[in-house]
Amino acid sequence: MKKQIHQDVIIGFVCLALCLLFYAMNRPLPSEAAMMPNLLVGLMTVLSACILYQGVVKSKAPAEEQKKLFTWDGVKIPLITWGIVLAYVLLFYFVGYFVATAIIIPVLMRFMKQTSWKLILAIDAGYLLVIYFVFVRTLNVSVDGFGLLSRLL
Amino acid sequence: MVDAASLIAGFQSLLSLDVLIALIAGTVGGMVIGALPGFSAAMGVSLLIPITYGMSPVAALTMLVAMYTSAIYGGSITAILCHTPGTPASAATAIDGYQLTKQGRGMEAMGVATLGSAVGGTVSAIAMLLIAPALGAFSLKFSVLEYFLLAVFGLTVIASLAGESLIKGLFSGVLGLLLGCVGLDAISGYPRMTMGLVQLEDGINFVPALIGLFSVAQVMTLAYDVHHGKSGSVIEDEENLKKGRALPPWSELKTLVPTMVRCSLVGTLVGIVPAAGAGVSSWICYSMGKKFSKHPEKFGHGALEGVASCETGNNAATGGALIPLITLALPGSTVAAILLGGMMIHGLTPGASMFTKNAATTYGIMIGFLLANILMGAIGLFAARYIARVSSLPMGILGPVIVALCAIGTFAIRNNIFDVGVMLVFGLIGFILKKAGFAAPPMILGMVLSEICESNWRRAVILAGAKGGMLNYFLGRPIAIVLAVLIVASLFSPVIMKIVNKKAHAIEKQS
Repeated sequence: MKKQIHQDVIIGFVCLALCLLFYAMNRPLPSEAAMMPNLLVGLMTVLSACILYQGVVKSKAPAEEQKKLFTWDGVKIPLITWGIVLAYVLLFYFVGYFVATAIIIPVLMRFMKQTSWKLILAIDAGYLLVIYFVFVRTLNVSVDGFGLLSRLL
Repeated sequence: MVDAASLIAGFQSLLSLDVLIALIAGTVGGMVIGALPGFSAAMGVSLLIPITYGMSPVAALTMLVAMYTSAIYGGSITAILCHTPGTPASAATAIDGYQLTKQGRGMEAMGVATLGSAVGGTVSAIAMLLIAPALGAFSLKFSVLEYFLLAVFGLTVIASLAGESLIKGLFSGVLGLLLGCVGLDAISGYPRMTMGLVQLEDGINFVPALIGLFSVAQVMTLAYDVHHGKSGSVIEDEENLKKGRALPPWSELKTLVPTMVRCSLVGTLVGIVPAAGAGVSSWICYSMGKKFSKHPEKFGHGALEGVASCETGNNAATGGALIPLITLALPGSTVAAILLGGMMIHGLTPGASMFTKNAATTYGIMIGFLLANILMGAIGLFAARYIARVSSLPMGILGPVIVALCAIGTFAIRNNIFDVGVMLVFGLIGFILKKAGFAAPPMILGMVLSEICESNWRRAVILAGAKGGMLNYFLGRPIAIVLAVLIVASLFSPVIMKIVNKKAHAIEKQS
């Protein structure tokens, strides 16, 4: 029977580290302002210890019976997706909403296994047109004037 | 006391073409805005105010209140069909609604949400018409201690939202409370946990955080599903959706009636209390629905009662929030605060004049709100079959469009790119929480209630000091005592309900 540490042990330690970080951030605060955050950090520390304890108990089960919460296979695709969204936000900041969206929708659609370029371009164009007429022209959301490129133009 | 002459005059003012167009446009527009992930009712109403400048006060305010109530309902559409709450108030709906969609009962969930929203909104509109002045005066009796206790009452809900692990759920809730502390301290003005960022001095904006936690994290999960064989839509069996009925069978529907009645009343009362709003109301009603349910184990796995309770509760809160707004200029929610601005723009000053000088206009707006809820129910029931088809769109189309809508929705709140960054960060946090087995809803609830809880507690301590100690201060406030009793009852209610259910089963077996 193979044994291994349950992932809740690691999660418990991460939670404790998070508590330490918050505690360090609250240390310079005057006592009145720090009261509530410190109370909450204290509560979080107790709960982290409970998660850690539960993890230790769960570790006694055979490795095959343990439910793995994090696997590289389980997080790889979501993290790449998040990376694409991060790139989108950066593009939004530098070149503006419309250019960023025109680029990112096809990228994300291709990433999410949409193969028809006709459909991709139709969705991209249709979405941008709807957003422009509804939000910029009708509702005056000034998203068209945002971004370095928009300012240069 | 209802003034019959003003009531008739108010009704007559609704019969003009411009008011009827405004009513329909507000209702349909609200449903669309609400259904767009990232676009809250607050955003819809604030974006609409400039459009109403040229309208009559009745037409303008009817359009705004119609937009308010139907945007709260509209949020349930994507919450049920795509697990992406259109508005913060429909976050609780996503829990059971999406499970029902995955089981091929998305249409029924939509029907129940529509009916619940219409019932909740209509009951709150009738309450507003009948008891607005009296209830408005009651909420004026609330002091800081009552606000604090109300926030604590809201926090007792966390246990029922914790998901699989109670400890992890509590951790998530406490983390939400802590994140709610970020920004300038309300009493001393000292910046807390801002990491030197000026943008964080206002605190973490709740809406981008919510969009990130729910929508961005959901798109990340959708991408995983697409890469692991699920190339179709978010629902597991599209055929079930096509065959599905707009409402569950009568035998099942009638079991939801007590839930809807209870949540209509509770939602209206929660809505009246300032700062509570539709979001808090939906969570409280969801928790109540679970506690009163004969099958609480179904909650979280696709319970129609779950959908009915939160959707009735959040729409009931919309009418509730309008009561202190109209009578005392006391907004019960963010949208009510925006509506206050809308009223001022159209020359309406909340208070006694609303029931004297402007009585016909006031009754016109209140009847307009009532009609908007009925219209919303009718349109929703008719269109549910068509709206439900949103969920049959391939994930590869839905995901990118949701991301783009979230970005523009987040940006449009304050025309601020920092908010888009907050959304992005909370997207990652939401995904990590989900993978690690932490429930996201308690975190949201913690963030919403943190400021109300802390600032009112600290003010209560200051006040109690001047009144001979906290115990003396507490015992001198009957409403606070009632709220404290409710908190204790809420904490022990799972145990009490378990005993009651056991006894009921025993009686059933005996008979």
